[in-house]
Amino acid sequence: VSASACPPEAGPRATQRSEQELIGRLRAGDESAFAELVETHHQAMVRLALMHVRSRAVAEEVVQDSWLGLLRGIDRFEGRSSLRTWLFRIVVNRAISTGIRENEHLPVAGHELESKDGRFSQDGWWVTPPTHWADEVVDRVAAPALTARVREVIAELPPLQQRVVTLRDVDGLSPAEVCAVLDITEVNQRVQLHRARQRIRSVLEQEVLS
Amino acid sequence: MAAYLDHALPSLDRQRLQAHLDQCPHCAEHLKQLEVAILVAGAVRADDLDPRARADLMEVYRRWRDEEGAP
Repeated sequence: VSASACPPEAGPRATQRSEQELIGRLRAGDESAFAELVETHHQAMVRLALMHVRSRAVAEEVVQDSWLGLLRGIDRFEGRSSLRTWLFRIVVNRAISTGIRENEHLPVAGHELESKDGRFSQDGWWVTPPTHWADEVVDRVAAPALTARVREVIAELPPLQQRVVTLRDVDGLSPAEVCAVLDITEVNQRVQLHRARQRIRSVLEQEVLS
Repeated sequence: MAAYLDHALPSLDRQRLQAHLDQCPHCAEHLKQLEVAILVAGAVRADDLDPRARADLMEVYRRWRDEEGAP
């Protein structure tokens, strides 16, 4: 599968050890281990499911069903990916098989990586140099007005861009994890992510300069 | 720049890009704006788990344990 094109997931040793411990407790039927996992991952899983199905109610059903999938499958989990990757992969599979929306994997050529927004000339020089605003915004990245606007922008992105940027920049997964969860190549992951970030960047610019 | 932000650029290309960024304020600003976009997206994740959702899931857990019996 395309995930093989991704670098292996790298995690600090301490994280791997605590994950082993958590898996052990889950297998032993320790309720608090399950509660911990729910606390850490449930919201991100609902966000992920929502990007494949139409309504929040269906997304929550899919996620609840995925939690049962985890409980039923934990004895067979071999640890070839992180627990989170495996869990998120269950969500994607169930959301897709819920069959509301097809999962689209658009092949993209590497040369499309940089968006052609007319600001570069053929030989790669700036035609319209950027207005400088990054320094003024960096202090208010968590301002409610900005985050609300960015939440809207993400919701309006094409589905795959939306999934990739949510997993990477909102939920903080690594590139390798995103490739594994969405079953896309590393290049496609990067292209989708970059387009989404460019879109967010340009909306922030409008917000700042207006 | 996409590969650079993903730490996926081969080291020689990375050095060349860094050298360019040191000299080109426009590209440096563009990169900074992308980094701000990433930071703002990170701040979107502010919602806490709804206590009812948590309670529901623990209920699901207990039902599963009682029926399909972990130890």
